[in-house]
Amino acid sequence: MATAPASLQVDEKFELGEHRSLWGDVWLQFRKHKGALFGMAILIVFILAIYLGPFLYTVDAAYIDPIVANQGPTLAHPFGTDNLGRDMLARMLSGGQISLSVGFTAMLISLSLGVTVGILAGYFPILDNPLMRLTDMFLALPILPLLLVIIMLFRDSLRTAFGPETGIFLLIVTVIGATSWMNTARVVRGEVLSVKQQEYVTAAVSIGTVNRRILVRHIFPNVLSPVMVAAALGVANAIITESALSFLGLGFPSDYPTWGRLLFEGKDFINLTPTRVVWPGVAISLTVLCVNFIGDGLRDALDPRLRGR
Amino acid sequence: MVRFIIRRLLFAIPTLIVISMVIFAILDFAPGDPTGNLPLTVPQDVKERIRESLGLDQPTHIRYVRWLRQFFVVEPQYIIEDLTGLQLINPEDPDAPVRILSWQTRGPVFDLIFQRMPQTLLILGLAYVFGALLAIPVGVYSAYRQYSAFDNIGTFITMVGYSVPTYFSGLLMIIIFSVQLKWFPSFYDTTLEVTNWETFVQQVKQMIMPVTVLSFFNAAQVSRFMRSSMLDNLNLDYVRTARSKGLNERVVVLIHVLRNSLIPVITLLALQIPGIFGGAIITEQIFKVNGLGQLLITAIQGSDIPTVQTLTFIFAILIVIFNLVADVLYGILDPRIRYD
Repeated sequence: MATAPASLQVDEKFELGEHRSLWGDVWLQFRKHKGALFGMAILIVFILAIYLGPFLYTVDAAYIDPIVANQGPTLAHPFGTDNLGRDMLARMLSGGQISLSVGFTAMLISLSLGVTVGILAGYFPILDNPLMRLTDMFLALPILPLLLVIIMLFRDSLRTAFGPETGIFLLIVTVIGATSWMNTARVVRGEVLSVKQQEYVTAAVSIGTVNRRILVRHIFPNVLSPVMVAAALGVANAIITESALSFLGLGFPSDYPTWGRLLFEGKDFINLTPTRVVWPGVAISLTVLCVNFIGDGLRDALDPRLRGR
Repeated sequence: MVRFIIRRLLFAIPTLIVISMVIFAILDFAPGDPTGNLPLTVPQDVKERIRESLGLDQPTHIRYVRWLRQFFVVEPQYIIEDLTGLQLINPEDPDAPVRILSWQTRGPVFDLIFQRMPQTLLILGLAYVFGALLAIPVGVYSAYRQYSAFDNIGTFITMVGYSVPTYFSGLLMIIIFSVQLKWFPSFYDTTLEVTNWETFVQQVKQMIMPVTVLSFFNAAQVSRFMRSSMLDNLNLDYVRTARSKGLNERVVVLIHVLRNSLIPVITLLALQIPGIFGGAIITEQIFKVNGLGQLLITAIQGSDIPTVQTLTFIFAILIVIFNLVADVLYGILDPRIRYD
């Protein structure tokens, strides 16, 4: 009995403290993860630079000036120029916009597919087996070869249908999204299976709530934490996959470059201007590193067993 | 256990059939035609005959079944012939089954694959072994000294290794070691035959960079996994029991904890094998190794559909097999798992 007052005291201290929300707690824990904070800071700097940079640094990324071709970093061209004399800094900024938007859009597609499949499979027992077999089948597909094949084969028809830029963007974002949702679906299904057994869901069922409302109001908010982690890792994965495709020459065209494409073009001039490889490579690696650190931090912050330690 | 393996094998068959259909269909329904790149001066009826000779005049389902038969019946016969010297197929027979022929070389696809396999396997195999050998001690020590300087630096380095794509780390190595320092050649010379010490040194030199890049990337993944698996086990009751019995700390960590933590890591290692083949596509492109990955890329660029279909399907079979291996290994290693 001697320990009881002590634990009571602890409880009181918590009750008397400030109001604490779930996301407030998550943020408190997230801040303890130095890597995650650092990653977030760098990522924000990157995003600001990429989207606001073109207003300050008003050099045309597509302007060809053969006189200054193949230069290293100079005052006029801080990141050097490519073999056609285009300014590398301007190309890096516009490439970053495309790389990041590919990353985020593909992540959104993959996430919505994964969450839908996971929730349906977890909540409706009839759908569980077929949907999970489908997931297994997708997991057994050789993703990179298939992506290459699909892009090679459908690139031209989509380009004629939607125009050179939108066509390739839609194609790449869709194929990356459609081939990376499987892990999210598995994790979400597992969470739904356990959340489904909770009393509040039974209570909702017993007062006659319709399935759609239970799913949206009770199940979805409670499986949000693995989804957030999957979102962070999804962005990293999509950026890496897109630049791998571009690196193999099967991504975005040269007049609409992403970081991966800049790397692909730079590798042939590695003897002449090695910086052309370094800039996009560092940009890809840093972005992915930051996003992975954020994912790590989120995972720790959203894990109730670790939080508050 | 045996029942589980049989059940999984039976499930693998429909999976593979569906995957083969998907691969065949994607390539078949796609716009594009092997005669599309021929000059316009080639008359239409000649084009028709070319299409006929490639077997393109038949409907899709017939070509699909024929391809499956070639893949699972005809090609294994030729492989057995090559390995044992038996003559299973009479070459004089006009009805002798046709092998899967590449549209680019007009030779059998499997011959191409066997030509390209050694260099891919050599580099991948070494990278895989080095990666695991590097990762496991690092993971164990970081977990044992959690939050120590070694752990913090190690975790950071593995995070970097995990985030930096191989196509950048590879190019960076080329810039540093080939362009600046001129220590290693920037591309892989497959025609090099190891006959004496000098050629051996040359072979080692050209392998160092691709193997380092791939093994570093693999090691980063494995050591992260190893570390978290060790951390899961280090605080369990059986560890405290072992220590309280007065066991040597080395025995506690290296025998009790390590053996239990290796279980998930070994399954990860099994699951990684098909993934490395995917990674090889990129690494081979960086260092210009003419292995399987490079064969796939050239086949895709030349719309050599039979080669692409066959290679992609082989990758799929590898994935299915190693998934099965991982599951079975897990069951054997971890007696808590019961499948029946």
